[in-house]
Amino acid sequence: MKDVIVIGGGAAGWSAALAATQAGLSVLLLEKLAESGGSSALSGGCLAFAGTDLQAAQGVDDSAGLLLRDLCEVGQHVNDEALVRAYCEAQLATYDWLKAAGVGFSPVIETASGQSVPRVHTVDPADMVRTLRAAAEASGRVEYRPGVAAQALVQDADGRVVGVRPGSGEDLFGARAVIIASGGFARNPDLLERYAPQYAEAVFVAGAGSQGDGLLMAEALGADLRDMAYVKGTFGKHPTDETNDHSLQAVYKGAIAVNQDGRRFVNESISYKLLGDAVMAQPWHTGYQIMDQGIFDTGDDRVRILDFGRRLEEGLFYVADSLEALAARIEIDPDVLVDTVTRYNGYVDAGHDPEFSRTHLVHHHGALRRIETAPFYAYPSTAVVFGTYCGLRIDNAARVLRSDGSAIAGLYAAGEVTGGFHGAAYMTGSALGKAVVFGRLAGMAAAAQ
Amino acid sequence: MNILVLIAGVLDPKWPVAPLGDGLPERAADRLILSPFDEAALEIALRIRDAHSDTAIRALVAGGAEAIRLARAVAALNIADVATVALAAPWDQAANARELAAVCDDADLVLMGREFGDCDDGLVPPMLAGLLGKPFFGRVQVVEATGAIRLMREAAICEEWLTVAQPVVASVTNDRRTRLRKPLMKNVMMARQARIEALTIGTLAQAPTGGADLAGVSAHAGARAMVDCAMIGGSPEDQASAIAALLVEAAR
Repeated sequence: MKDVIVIGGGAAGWSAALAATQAGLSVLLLEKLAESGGSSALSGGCLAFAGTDLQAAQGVDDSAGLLLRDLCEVGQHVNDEALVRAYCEAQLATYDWLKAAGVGFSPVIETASGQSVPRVHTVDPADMVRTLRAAAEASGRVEYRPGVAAQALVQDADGRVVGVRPGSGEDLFGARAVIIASGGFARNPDLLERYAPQYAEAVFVAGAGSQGDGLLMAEALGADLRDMAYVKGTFGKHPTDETNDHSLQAVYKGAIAVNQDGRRFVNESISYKLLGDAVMAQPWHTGYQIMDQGIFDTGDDRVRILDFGRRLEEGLFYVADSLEALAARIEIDPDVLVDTVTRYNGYVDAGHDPEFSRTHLVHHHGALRRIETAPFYAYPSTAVVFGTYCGLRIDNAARVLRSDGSAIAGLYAAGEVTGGFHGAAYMTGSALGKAVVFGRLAGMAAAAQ
Repeated sequence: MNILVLIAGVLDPKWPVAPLGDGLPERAADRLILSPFDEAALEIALRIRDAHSDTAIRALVAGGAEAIRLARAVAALNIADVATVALAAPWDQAANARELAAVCDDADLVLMGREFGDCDDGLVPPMLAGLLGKPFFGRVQVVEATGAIRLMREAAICEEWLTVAQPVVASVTNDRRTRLRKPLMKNVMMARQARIEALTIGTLAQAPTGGADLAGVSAHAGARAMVDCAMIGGSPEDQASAIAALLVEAAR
């Protein structure tokens, strides 16, 4: 018997395993697929940390307090502040812990959804998961079993979770804890229909294992759920390109978003989750990010969501020497698009956007830019559901809670399977950040009990 | 200008090829995609239409019911007139050319991938031109559509340009300068409802007579059915001799 059983081999699962082994515990990690990595490995590799050495080196003044304020604002205060506070208090130590484990960070720090200052710390996400796994396995205290799916949780006579029931074979037991890190449910049509019917026409990109099985197993034991009404897609996915899963966030560099009628439909600086909601309400569930050469040149090829040059090479941008010609390419009335851009430029000059109250490039950061220098670019954009951002209610020690607030003894959860942290929307880097921070906290909590 | 684009389609290489009883792979609807040459031919047609709004594009996709899904993908490029055409002998260049000649109508420009239906032989386009009695221009790489329409191919040390001043059949090769654009989402969704006509041999007009005397190919009891898989070893000369012997044996 091991001390801890971890269900799921993504960033949260391997973080939990590493933290538990560092505390001297033995771990059995179950991964139902042949390879670990999960949705984490498919992600954009962004982590939201505040107060890091990388930020300091670039003169970025950030803090746990500012991160807390931003997370609560972008979550529209629907999120569990205690959980957000736990993240903010643990994130800087987790950043250092990741580096100590061998995770490499890009020196580039960018600003994206929901951030008042640049705090997107970028990693190769698949490599990060591999690094966490290697560090955990180097302890000699981890047994890794790929291809083993947990079907149910096993309780003792007192109701304490003491193990899991695999699809075949005997029950597996963990003396101290079972940590669910099995991901979300973006690959489960039944759960999506139940919780996110408004996204029926959206693009779904998630790990094949994101079936919601961990959520269902815990729910069967009376676990409470949080934020289920806030499943959202990310704005910026090219709707007809099937080779590139990542979104593009030119709006945060100054582009405007227009619909197929050529009209703006949203304040482009808000969270890309809310932009996702907005674009799904437009004709054909599609919009276009419109920018000029000046904005295009601010792209950054070291950050996937801002790598405009690569998308241009992939043929995903429409480009024209005039707004009228660009409108023709995307089958929008040229007069309408020209009028939209002209009025927007007027708002930039006046410092007041009476239509959508846009004041910054992203959240509270960056001055707006005019769209005026040819050539002009259009990037077709719809919403893509990368993750479900809701699920099991946990406390700040990652214990799974019932609706009355009591903890289910022996049961912990971390990563995408959990709810309460994001609230109504989402900050770039907070999903992968949540995975590593709460994965680490869960492993530490299992050791501390 | 009336442009006709002839689309061959190919099997998606991401799937393993599963031969049917006759040794040919199944052309399942969910495994048919545009070839790079099909894509380039379509993009050239679209660029001509971008520059000349009075251009009408018609597209014919080779195949029967299995080709309708691919035809909708073509319709999603805002091409209203798309049909499938069932070819009786997909691997017979001469038969293909004859059947296609019956559907070329009054097209001012016929564009088709250079490998239409015959692997890398590239014979169908010139055969079609011969049957139609139209000039042929092969391996087009680039179109210049502002003003007069000009097609370009690269020769060994120079570029060769053809101004489209009379009806012509052109085969198109792939080139990074003519990568096919992505369809707009609204057109993808409208294409789901588009009417796709299905042409069959019985509905085709009589193919033009005359022109080239087409030899074509005939069915052959292939080596696949007669020769077991074998490992060939030895020196390069030995291997060449062994392969030649197998081919001779297969041809008997």
